[in-house]
Amino acid sequence: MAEKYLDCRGLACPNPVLKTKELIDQGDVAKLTVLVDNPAAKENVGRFLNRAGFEVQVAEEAGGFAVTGRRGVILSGAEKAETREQAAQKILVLIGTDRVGTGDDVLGRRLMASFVSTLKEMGRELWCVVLLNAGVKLAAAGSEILGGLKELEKEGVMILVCGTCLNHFQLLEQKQVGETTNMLDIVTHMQLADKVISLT
Amino acid sequence: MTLLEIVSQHRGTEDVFRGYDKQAGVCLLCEALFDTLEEAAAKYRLDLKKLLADLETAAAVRS
Repeated sequence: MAEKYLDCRGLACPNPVLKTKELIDQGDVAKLTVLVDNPAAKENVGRFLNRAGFEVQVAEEAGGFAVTGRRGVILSGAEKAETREQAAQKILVLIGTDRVGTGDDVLGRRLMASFVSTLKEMGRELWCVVLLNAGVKLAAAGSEILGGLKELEKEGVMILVCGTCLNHFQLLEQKQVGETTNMLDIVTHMQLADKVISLT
Repeated sequence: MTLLEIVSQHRGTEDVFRGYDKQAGVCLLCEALFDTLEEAAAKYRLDLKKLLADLETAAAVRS
């Protein structure tokens, strides 16, 4: 695993992120330092590295910032996700509601909390969780299930949150976990999954 | 798809996004790089249909 260095000073967005991506895509990067000269590039490169499974540190340097990403000895989120890709089957769980069943809403929400916290029992075959319609409320600030979803994401489970639904419930800014996505992404992931479990 | 995915797969779309910066009031590729196209359009009140058509044209020209 190599240590790399990238000077992106003078480059406008999105070029620092694209150059960082190109370097990482080549593989074999244990540590990477990217020099940038504007706050937007600093934020975006840091965010990209974080998503790629690096631990990120930022230091101010003469006229700019040094964004450093390190891969830990512990499996990164991306590496954990990779082991899930290699599992015997890929299970996608589609959640289109914020409660389970009908009859009593309080009970329904408790059951949903129990359902999400028990999902990890699927082991590494649990590949992706998709939140749709009222299900996106589970990923927003104030949700009692946030901890469980964050834990799944940390373990490499992909959490996809419907952007249209977040927008509908005016929760775009309140989303705390997962990747905001669109219907094309959701349908593609359903197609790629070996099994889809739907809870609506 | 996020703006990053679009612009990394179709480099010709960068100019299209820059063309919408004034209307959005921000540099889209700075502020919304990790947003989906739909999310960015909603956030900055852009005509998603027109933006999509402009991006498809740019991507087709370069491919």
